[in-house]
Amino acid sequence: MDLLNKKIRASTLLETIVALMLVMMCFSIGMMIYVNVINSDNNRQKLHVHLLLKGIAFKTKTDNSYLDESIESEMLSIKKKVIKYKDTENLNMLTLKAYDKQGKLLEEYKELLIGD
Amino acid sequence: MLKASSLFYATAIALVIALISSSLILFAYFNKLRLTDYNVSERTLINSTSGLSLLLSKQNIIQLNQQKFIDLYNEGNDTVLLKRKSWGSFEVIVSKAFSARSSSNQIALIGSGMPSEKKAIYLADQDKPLSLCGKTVIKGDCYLPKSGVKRAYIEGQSFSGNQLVEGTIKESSKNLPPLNNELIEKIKSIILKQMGENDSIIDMDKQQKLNDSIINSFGNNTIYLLSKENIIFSNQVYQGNIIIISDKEIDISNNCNLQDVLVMAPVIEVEDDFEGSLQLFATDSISISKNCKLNYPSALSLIRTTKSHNNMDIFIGEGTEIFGDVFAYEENLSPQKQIKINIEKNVKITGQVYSSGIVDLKGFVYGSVTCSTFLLSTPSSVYENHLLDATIDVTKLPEKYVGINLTETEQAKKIIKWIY
Repeated sequence: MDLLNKKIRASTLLETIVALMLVMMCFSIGMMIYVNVINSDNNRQKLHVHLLLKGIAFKTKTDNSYLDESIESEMLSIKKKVIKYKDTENLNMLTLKAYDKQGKLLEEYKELLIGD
Repeated sequence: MLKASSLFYATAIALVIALISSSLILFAYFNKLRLTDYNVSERTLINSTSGLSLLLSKQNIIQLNQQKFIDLYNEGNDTVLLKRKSWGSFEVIVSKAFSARSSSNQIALIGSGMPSEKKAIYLADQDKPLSLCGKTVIKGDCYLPKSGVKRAYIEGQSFSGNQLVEGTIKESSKNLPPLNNELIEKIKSIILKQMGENDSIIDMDKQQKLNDSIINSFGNNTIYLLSKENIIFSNQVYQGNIIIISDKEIDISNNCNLQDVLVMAPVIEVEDDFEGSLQLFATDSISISKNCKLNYPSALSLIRTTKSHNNMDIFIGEGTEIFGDVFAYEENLSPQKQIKINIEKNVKITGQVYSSGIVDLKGFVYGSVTCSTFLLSTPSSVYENHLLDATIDVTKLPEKYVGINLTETEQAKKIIKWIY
């Protein structure tokens, strides 16, 4: 009964609305930031593509496969091009370009490799 | 009485959300920064590796003892500094790629890969057959005189093997394959003390008094230690980009540490039990005493100049092991002027042996021997084109062996080792 008789100081309607607005604003800004951070994870995708291209370059070296080719995967399309490097006899310039499904260039990798 | 004060709680919650949000922003920012750094350093590393590939290829862009800035793909973003420098019988290549926040520097000692046709012996045709006695073993293809190979009986020993040569025998010509001209020029430049503009010169006599040691990176300019008198190395350490030249004689004791250095004098003597990795260049004689170990990549080179004595020789004492190449060369052979490589019992050479004159072989060569004449000296007599208890086995030369391009044949350049 004591508890029921206790006086509780209520907030005004204005105070409650302002508080509600403030929390909602902060929450929505927070969500926007969270979504942005998650989206900026395409860095991870870029890193993944870079490592993939590096792997293809390594395989080109070890297999001595200096032929132009296209490699298709679910998410990516990789174009491999090998041309003779200027003023040399046995040096090749390897260019690897990775595109997404919309045809947007994601990453480019260039290296000089000694051929036969 | 409980206080309602919802605005206070709302502000507190907003603050917490703000803190979480800002830490997320910071996390994303640093993550991106780290990834950008990784991409930049990765690109510089790939560029410096590409620069090395360029230097190892057959190219006319960078000449020997020259350095150049090259824009690899003509896009203005991939500039590398490439450098080729003669290092005795070998070559040092430097590739340095850089960007605003990162750089990658790779330095390698390079030589020549072995020809696809691996030959055990090339003996010039002087109308005398090669005679084998005792426990002589020859494995690999051989270029021998028209008169071929035969069994012989000397010093109470006849040939004890089943097969004279375990490989194909081909006919040799009267003259040896000529020594690579570029190699001769490289060695002459050391003999003539041709230095680079920025190379340092230290008086070896003063250096000897200090009894000091020097370690010099191949990224720096070369240090020349010069003396007009005899040099005796004892309890000293010399490593890296150092050339030591005496006008008289150099003695190397077994308590000093010599790695990757070039040593040049008319006469060079190495004491018993020495161990190191070095290139020796002499114009009169090289003498390696017993039980020494010259690690890969070492080289012994004897080359005639106008000041050389009539009889020049390389002597390799019993029990010595050499991982590298040994060569003695003179342009115009004559009976008055002799050049000889003397390989004693239990000597093991893994590499190539080339003499434009004589080879006296009593030990083991795991590689190839090219010479005009084999000469066997015993206490009782001297035999021409005879081998007694000697081994020449090219099949034991490691598949990936990289050495000196001794003859004019064009061989692929390969990395011997990474240097600092």
